[in-house]
Amino acid sequence: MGESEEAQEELSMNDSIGIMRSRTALVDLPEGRVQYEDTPPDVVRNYLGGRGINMAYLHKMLPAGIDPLSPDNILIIGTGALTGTGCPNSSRFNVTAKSPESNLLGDANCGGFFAPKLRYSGIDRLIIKGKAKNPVFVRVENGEVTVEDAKNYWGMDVNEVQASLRRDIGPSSESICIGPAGENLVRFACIMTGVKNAAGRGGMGAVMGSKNIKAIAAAGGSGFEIADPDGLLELNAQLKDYLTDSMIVKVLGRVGTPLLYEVSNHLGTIRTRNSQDSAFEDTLNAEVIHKHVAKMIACHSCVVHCRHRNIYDGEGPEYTTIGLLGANLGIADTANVIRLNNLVNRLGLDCASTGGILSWAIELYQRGIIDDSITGGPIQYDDYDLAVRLIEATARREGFGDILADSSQAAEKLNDPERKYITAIKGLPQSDPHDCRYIKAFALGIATASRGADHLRSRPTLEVFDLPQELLLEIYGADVNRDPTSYLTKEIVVATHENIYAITDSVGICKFICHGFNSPKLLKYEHFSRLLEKAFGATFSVEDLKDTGRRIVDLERAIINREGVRRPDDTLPNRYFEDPLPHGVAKGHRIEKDKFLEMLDKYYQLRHWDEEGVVPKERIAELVAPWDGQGGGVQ
Amino acid sequence: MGWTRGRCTIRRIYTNHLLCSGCRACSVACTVAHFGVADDSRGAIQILRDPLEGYEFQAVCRLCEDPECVAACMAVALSIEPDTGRVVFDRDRCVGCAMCVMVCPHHAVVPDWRAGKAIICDQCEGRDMPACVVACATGAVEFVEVEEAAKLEK
Repeated sequence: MGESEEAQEELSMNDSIGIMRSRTALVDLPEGRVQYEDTPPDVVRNYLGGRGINMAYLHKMLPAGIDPLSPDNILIIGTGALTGTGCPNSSRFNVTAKSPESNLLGDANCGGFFAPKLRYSGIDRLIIKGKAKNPVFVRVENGEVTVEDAKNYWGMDVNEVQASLRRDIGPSSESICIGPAGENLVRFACIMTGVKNAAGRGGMGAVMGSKNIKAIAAAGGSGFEIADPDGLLELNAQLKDYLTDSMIVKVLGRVGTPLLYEVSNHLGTIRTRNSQDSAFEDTLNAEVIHKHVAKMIACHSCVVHCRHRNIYDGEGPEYTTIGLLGANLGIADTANVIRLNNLVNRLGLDCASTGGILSWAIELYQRGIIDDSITGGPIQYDDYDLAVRLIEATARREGFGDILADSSQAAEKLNDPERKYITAIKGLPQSDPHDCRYIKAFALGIATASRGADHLRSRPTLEVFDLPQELLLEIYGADVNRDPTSYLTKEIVVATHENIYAITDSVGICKFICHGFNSPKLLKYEHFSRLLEKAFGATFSVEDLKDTGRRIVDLERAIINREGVRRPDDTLPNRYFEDPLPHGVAKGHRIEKDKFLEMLDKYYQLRHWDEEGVVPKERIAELVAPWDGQGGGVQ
Repeated sequence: MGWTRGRCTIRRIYTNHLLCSGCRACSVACTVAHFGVADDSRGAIQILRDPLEGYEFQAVCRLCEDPECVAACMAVALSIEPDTGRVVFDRDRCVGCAMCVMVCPHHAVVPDWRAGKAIICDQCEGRDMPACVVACATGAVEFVEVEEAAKLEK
């Protein structure tokens, strides 16, 4: 290829992201030196934004084998490609780092109002290295990033620090922050924004705490340009009408995610008392929860408004919270479960891991595996006051809480070194309150998820909808097995969902309005493609986006391969293999190990990974090629 | 009556805070429509919200009968259009003194500090329907006749 042809090709590549800005600020602590770069267009072209570009930077910049709580870790906060454009539910960003909870990949997606504000203020992505000497907060204003003293904010809970920042920086500022849990390096501390929005999973709050960063605040700025304003407004309006007509969007807007509790409970798959049981009280049904709700509110540009403002001075609860702080702790009192939800939010703890770890410890105590000498006294299910004490102690690393704060890494101290009784994979406690012994695709999905036992990477719930075969063919591009308890073709189901969720996380749109999450309809690749064109004049075809989805999944796998993940890590909690479910539709179901392993083999084949689940070298070369000759990731 | 300002039907943007989810789609639609830019802080409709205090409501020009912003504008950038009753803003005349911002009892004049200009709702002149009304997913922002709005407010 001649030089001019090369130049021409480069130009066309650049053209194809249109006017999409991808302004990245690299903050080097403790000096607070800030460098700015526009993410190379080829990288944007291949990884889009949000989770995708975060992964591209993490793979490039993170040394393998480091201690996630050391200054060597890299904290990346990246907005989605469509975040802030005003298109439906475009509020989201991803926080990415090495996880102190799993010691593998940490990545959490979050809504609220911070991400659009960050973009409007002139920065699309922040990358933070090193560690500040004293507590600081990072301030983004009019495209400039500064590091400022946060001594007065240290020790505050999530609400207090945000109220202080609104007072000190201005009421139109938006921030993300950590609570006491993040300061105390609890391995499942969240990064929070607003009252309840959390970059919840994998201990991203502990990474922020380990760098002595209390908060990141965004203010000011002039927004960003839209390529086709009238076209975008028209498309947004069409999509809004399409989405708000959907039954699932209507129901989510009325009662929020607690609607899923009843579904799981009916199936006999609601994780109860550390998954020893699988059915629980009706007191956590959506309609009951709703008696404790003042108003349903929304994230930025959201057409769903699924978030509750509850009457106990907080927001929530979600399905995950009522499942894991309710049923899984054996607590049935509706008001008390909502109070626990409010408590973990103020302290900045991941509700999923909190419920998972507490319920694990209680079972170990019941079985006599641990005793008062460790716990400091009796611990049991169905004890709200105990739950409050343990949660407070965990956030502050006091007494027994200091052990619980280490999440799955407390296994040795809790006399469960083989992690026999914990519902966790790759060290990450399972987030979804849904017991995965019944829906086999669900089980495969949490086993292969790049950040550990997590449903938001694939969540193949279309499995229970009894959809017609023709529709399944259209969705999956293959003749998949309709029976949720079959092990056949589920690798296709899981991979399809993983690929599209990687894209929804990269465009910065909430999964609740995206195809496959709760509905076979809603927004698909075609819609993202059109939105990117109207917003930025960017030309991403459906095939381009599908390729990008696969690329992100492969790159995440390459990152965890580098940390040592192999086939034996893609497994399930012991109980899922050994104990049949006791109740409901799912009664008698468990995961048969040989069939699970066959499913896993087929999944690797579909992904073109080797038999150990390792991404081949040639593929990695392709994945990192967009960086070639482009600089980027300023050192 | 202040509403005998002409013979045309006078309409204004009516907002219902009980239906407002706080999402700010209206503000973004406004800046996309007017500036070709996404930036909710410069929308002529603003959502005043504080999740910690637990409120969200809209602020947008309500076509006051005797608008204080017009009276306060020393540069004569603000006037009332006789036929429609709309408050008309002449951006070129605006000197950025922000008197209108300060006197508006409804927080409906937005300061654009960087440009040194005021921002006030023009009801999306030239569009069939104001962009904010189209963007709202909950019906919390409507375009109605002023008499109807007055009734609704009761």
